[in-house]
Amino acid sequence: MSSSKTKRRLTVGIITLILLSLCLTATTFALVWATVSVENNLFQTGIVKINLNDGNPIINEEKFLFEPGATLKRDFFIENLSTWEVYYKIYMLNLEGDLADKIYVTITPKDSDDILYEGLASELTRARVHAADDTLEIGEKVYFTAYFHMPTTVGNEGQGLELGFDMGADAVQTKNNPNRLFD
Amino acid sequence: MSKKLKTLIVVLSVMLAVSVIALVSVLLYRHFAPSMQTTTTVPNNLIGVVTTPTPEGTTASPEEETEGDKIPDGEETEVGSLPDIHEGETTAADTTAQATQIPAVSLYLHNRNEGDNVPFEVMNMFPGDVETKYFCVRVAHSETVTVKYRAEVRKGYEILAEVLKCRITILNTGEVLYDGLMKSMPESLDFTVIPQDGVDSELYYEITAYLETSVGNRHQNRRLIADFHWWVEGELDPPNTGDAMQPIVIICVMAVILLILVPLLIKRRREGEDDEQQ
Repeated sequence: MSSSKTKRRLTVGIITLILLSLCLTATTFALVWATVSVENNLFQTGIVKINLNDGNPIINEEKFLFEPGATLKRDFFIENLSTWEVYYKIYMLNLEGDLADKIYVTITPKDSDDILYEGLASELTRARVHAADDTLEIGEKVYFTAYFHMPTTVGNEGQGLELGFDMGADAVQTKNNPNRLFD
Repeated sequence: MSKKLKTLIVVLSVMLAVSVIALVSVLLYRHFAPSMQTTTTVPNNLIGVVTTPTPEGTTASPEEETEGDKIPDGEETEVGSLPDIHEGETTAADTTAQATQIPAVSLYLHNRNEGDNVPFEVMNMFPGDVETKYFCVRVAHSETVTVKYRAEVRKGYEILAEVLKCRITILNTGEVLYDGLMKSMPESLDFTVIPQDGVDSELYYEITAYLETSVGNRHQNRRLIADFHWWVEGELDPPNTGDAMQPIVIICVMAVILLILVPLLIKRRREGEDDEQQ
């Protein structure tokens, strides 16, 4: 009985000792070792991303036969998926075929007579087109109409020629970019 | 054996009591020191000014003032009463209150102006963006000490650190401690502080984070989390620094331990009394 009591007292004593040591360590640490900190400083960059016609081709026909005076009209859209307002430009790339020098392309906002871009297909390249005057707000979706026209002045030299291309669009944030620089 | 244990417990209890008193004193000091400050002059509000102090008897010109320079109504600036501040070192900067003397070094954040010491939370950053925050660190010391600063980028956020730059300026002197990439920041940015007449020194850090306009698409939608640390290294031993929150957390932990400890001690005492009666 006495032995078990002594054991219990010893256990309690040791536990007390350990707890006291822990407390002392904690207070000493608080006094000596701490530093001043401001934590969780967060920086996050934004995104510039646009959706051009959901990735679908503007001209779905595998082959469209042009003849002098013919005009092909197709609608497409651009949607701003960025986290900021953006400048944008639309251009043609991967041009193939000599018809690029015969076909005139005009791009206007849908149901508008304002001309955004106009010229021979071969001229509307990424390097040569400029940013549109308008900007796209966050989440804004704008529809455009592209007109592909073969002038009546094109004679027999336009026969048998082809045109293949990809439509491209670039966007860049308006923030800190007054000169509308894309690169 | 039991006697030795008892002696040890008594010694540890005394040491713990001393330690707790010291800790509580530090906490109380930190708590009341700013309020003492507000009843006295608050000169040398230097936000946005990176020049040496204005000559005695003059005030800063309007061109030199920025939003942060504004001092709340009812408080006067006594620029001429400032001690000299030298390049690379500063003296006890601004308080005329005879604050309680703390024997060792104590480091703590002080909200000198509204918005001080608030962590950055910059979302939707784009190339060319610049964001500035101010951090006021006060040092209670009696010897020359070196206050060190470090921005620690957390693991997993290294990519944005490749392009995110920061500029660390001590507004007291206008000295730029660092201007470069977050990832290339040295282990510590040091600033030597000289004490003056037992009053607290105050270091006003202007920390500007910015992105160059040349930052490319690779760094879109990236996140960076950084922890800012200040600590003191000087001739004093041991350095007595403290985060305002850390001791409170430790005290809470201690309270829990004491809740266990007190019944144990009572039980032990009762058992001792029982033994004596028998």
